[in-house]
Amino acid sequence: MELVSIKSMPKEYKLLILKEFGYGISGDYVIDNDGKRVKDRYVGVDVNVSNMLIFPGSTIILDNNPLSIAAYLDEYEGKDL
Amino acid sequence: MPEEPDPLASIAKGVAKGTYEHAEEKIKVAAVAIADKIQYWIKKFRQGELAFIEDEKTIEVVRNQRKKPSWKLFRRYVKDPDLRLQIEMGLSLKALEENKKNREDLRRKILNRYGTKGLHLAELSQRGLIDRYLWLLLDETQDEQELRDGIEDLLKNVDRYVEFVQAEQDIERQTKAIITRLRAFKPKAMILLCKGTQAEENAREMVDDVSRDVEGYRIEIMENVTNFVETP
Repeated sequence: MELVSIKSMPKEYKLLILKEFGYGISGDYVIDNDGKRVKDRYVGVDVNVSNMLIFPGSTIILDNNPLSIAAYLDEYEGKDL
Repeated sequence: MPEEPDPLASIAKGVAKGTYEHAEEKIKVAAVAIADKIQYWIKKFRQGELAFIEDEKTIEVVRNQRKKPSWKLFRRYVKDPDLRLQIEMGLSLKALEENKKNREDLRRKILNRYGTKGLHLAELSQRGLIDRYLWLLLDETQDEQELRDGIEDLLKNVDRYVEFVQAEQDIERQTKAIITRLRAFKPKAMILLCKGTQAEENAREMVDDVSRDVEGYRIEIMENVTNFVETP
């Protein structure tokens, strides 16, 4: 799988990407269509734009940490990062 | 008589206009290129062939730990994915030992998801003690099923098989509790952890007392288990 680093990407470009998937940015956080902050499904924290991962599989937006990555890989066993 | 236009001012104005238009054009070209690039990424993402990541380092931590032989053994013998993740996060904590900020952040997240018991298990894994227990079991079990049961039993009841010995403790009471557990559950192995001279002395005294009362256990002492397990 190709991995695109968004670490040094300006916030405006991150917003363009997020908008493609129906998300947005409010302050430092990713928000959904209803304006609610997106929570990492594995660790339950609000996803910060400066520390996020976007993985395929119905567009999964996660916090960048080993637990979320490992849990994602377990859930989507065929995926290989 | 009409005033002659200043040729220099006229040239300067022309140059400025040209430069501005040129810059504007360059910005437009760059914006189109970025938009095209993003569309290309989105297309590949939708095909499941691309992911957006913050940095390669965090992914690398997970990739490396999944290559380890012990993780492959745990994957084979531990069916509960949450237990496996707790062990795996111990390996992540170990990989982040030099990065206090990220390590503490991960500890908080393990605690949020799995509670104190889960963090405790991850920290034991971080110190290599779960691996050690696995090797003890490999030595002591007769078949794969027994090994599988032994590992699952340890992971689900880690507090039963791992005892923390502290400096200020009622040694007699704790020794009795250990003997009761050994007799009741007959574990293949039990781990006693201690830190500091006094706690070490207490542990040795307890091991002596336990080995007088309960037979059939081999005693092994591991020293310098760095960065003692942190959960209470």
